[in-house]
Amino acid sequence: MKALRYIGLVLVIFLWAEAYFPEFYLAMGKSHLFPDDYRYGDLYRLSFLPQFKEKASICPDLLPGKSADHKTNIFIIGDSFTEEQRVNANDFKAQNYDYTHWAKSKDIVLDTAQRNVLILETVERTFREHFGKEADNFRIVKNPGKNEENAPKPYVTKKQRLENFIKIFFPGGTEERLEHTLFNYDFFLFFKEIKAAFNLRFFDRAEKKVVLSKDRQSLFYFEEVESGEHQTSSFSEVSEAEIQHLVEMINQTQDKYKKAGFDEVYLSIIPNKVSILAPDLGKYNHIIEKVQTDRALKVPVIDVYSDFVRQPSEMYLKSDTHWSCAGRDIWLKKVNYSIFSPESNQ
Amino acid sequence: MVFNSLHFLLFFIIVTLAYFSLGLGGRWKLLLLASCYFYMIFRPEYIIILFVTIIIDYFAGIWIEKAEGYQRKLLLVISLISNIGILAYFKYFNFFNENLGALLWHFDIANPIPYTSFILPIGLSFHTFQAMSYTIEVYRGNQKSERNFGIYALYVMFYPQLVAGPIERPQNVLHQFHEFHAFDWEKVKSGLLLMAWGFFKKVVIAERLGMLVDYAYKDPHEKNGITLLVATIFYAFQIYCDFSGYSDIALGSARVMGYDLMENFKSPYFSRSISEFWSRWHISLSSWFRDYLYIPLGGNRKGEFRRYLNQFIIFMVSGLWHGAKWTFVVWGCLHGTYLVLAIVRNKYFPKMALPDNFWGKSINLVFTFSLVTLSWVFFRAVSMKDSFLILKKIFTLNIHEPLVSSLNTTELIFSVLLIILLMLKERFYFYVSTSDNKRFALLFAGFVIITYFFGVFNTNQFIYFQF
Repeated sequence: MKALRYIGLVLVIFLWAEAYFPEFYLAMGKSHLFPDDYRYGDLYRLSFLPQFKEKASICPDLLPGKSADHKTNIFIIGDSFTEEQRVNANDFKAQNYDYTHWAKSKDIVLDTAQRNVLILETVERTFREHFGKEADNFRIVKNPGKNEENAPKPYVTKKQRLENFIKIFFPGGTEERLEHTLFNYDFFLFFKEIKAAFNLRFFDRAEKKVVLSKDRQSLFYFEEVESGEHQTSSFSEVSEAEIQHLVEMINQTQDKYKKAGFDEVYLSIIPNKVSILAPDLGKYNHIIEKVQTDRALKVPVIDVYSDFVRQPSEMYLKSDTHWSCAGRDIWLKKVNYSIFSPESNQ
Repeated sequence: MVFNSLHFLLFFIIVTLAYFSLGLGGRWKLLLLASCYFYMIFRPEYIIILFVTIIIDYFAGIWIEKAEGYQRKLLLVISLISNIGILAYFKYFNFFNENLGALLWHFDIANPIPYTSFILPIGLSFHTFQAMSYTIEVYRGNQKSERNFGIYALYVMFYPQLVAGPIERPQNVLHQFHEFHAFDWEKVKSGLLLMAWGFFKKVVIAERLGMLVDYAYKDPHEKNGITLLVATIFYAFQIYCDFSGYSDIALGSARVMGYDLMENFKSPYFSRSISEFWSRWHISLSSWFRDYLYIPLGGNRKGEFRRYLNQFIIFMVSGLWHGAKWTFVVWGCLHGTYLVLAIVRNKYFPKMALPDNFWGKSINLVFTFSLVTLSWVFFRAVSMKDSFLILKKIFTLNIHEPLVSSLNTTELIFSVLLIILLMLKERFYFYVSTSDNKRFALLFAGFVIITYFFGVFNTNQFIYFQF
């Protein structure tokens, strides 16, 4: 009995430590000791609705064994749509490809003897946040050396330093990590699905962080839909003044990076899933069209909104906020065409 | 750390397993450490405030015991002022400052005092009152001062009741930390079952009712009278299930380790008068006010008027204890007024009292519930303006108006069934003996499964944490 108690104690302490310390949790995730909680899509992960359960698949590279354009380097400042598991170097004709997430900053070296192209990719829901101010993710340096760091890097006060120190010991987010550690196995997902299906069937409600379309065939992330407190929503109002400000920030970003050595800067706004599949869930603000057609905008645009609207049902994954392989391929083809076609600036 | 979280469940398992693996000396140290962790998960830096009050009262207790004559009183007053001062600064400073600003504004004078930007430390009112009861009891000679600093700290910080009570008395708890509690399977079973019932009340009933309450009270001017009335009735049960659910988990988790904490609720909605309600609702707070404020003010010993005044004062202070907002003060004053009117009626108009039969009792019960529920409007509403608007809409409601709800009809009916189930359980005091292990396992597993499938897991804090 005593031995059993100690074994139990060691086991629960291990589980606690794994969920409590984010680094430990990440290390365990990499070791595949616990299943990946995104394996059935990020929206399924939030809703557990069985009809929106789809095993996440990896899209084939667009240009495997490509003949690279040896004169061009592509840099992307992007979000989860262009993360490594969705988009990689084999999708572009460029010789070199470099991706940086919006939440990061890094020092980069530009080979000015070559053509350097920067793509500012952002999903619609975070577009207003990213261009509320000038983008500032790259610092052009002559020699590489510095590693990637979390952005932004503002002046850190003593109070903030103390808070950061406390965060080491009290990192927060334990509940979510614990939930995924303990109940992310297919066995438990079965019960979660029963509960989610029951709630939807009888109480007509899904989990808080998701919203269903009127016909219940599509699932969306709540921040894309609920306009109350979220500037991220496709239905939150956007004023003419804000559009002008956003355009001004995009132009300033282009100017800054061109001065720093980039030859071209492109903007690409990926529509929210709800903007394409269920714009009838509210009064759509049409922010993408407003920005892209603004006369003051000096930055060339890689537009996929109009393509997605034409064939809405195929562009997004059923269980995820992100694009399907078809949606991704449209974007990639447009990017490659914009940069490498004879009509482009090359 | 909130009780309704996986984090707490894991914490509870670790602490309990470790507790029974240690001897007496190690146990209080483990519980103190665990309580610090439990508190620091909310906001680590506020443990400093907690320890300041602990240090003050620890030494105050020893010095009060040693001192004689007026020095005893002086030390008690210093200790009380320190405790109330910390509470006043963190909880009431901005409230009084805001009202001072409003007053000065009438005379065209700008308020020169800046506001503080502190967030109210969780459970400050609870542990301050518990600390104060210690020094008062030592002063009164009912409790010996605690010489072991760690055990005194644990008395204030014992995690099950640290952030929302019950507000314990030193005579009931302190000696328990000096005793060795052998593993008692019967206590463990009873504690676990009480915890399971508490979780059920919180996540299945309170959180579900809260969805309609939040929806209606968020924007009351857009809601009709019938919606606000149903939401207010739901709130009466939401706050009961939320707070008594917390108390059940607190009592249960302490009981598993062999500790007995005081009962905080005794079926309050079956009260037939307001005074009876207060002997069944948040008992640890109402008895605190009775023992440490009402009686020292003279209670009912200094004439009729003083009795009324004292009654009124303790309820007004009780309102202010709950929160630094006028809505809480009005809520307290309303209860004070109810009580004073009841005393006056009993004394001068005894014939107005209803007969002591089924109908008389039932009418008294419904009337008491109605008064209590109406007063909850002030407790829940965001502002005084909203409170009056809600009351106006309730009193002028049109019964033909549709109920506009965030819950669908099935869930509304389900919610009402849950309330009926709760009331039946309280009325007939369903009790299932757990001496049979199989029956216990079945019951406990049943609770867990039902709570999981019908629970609404929002990880919302308990309502009383804010106080």
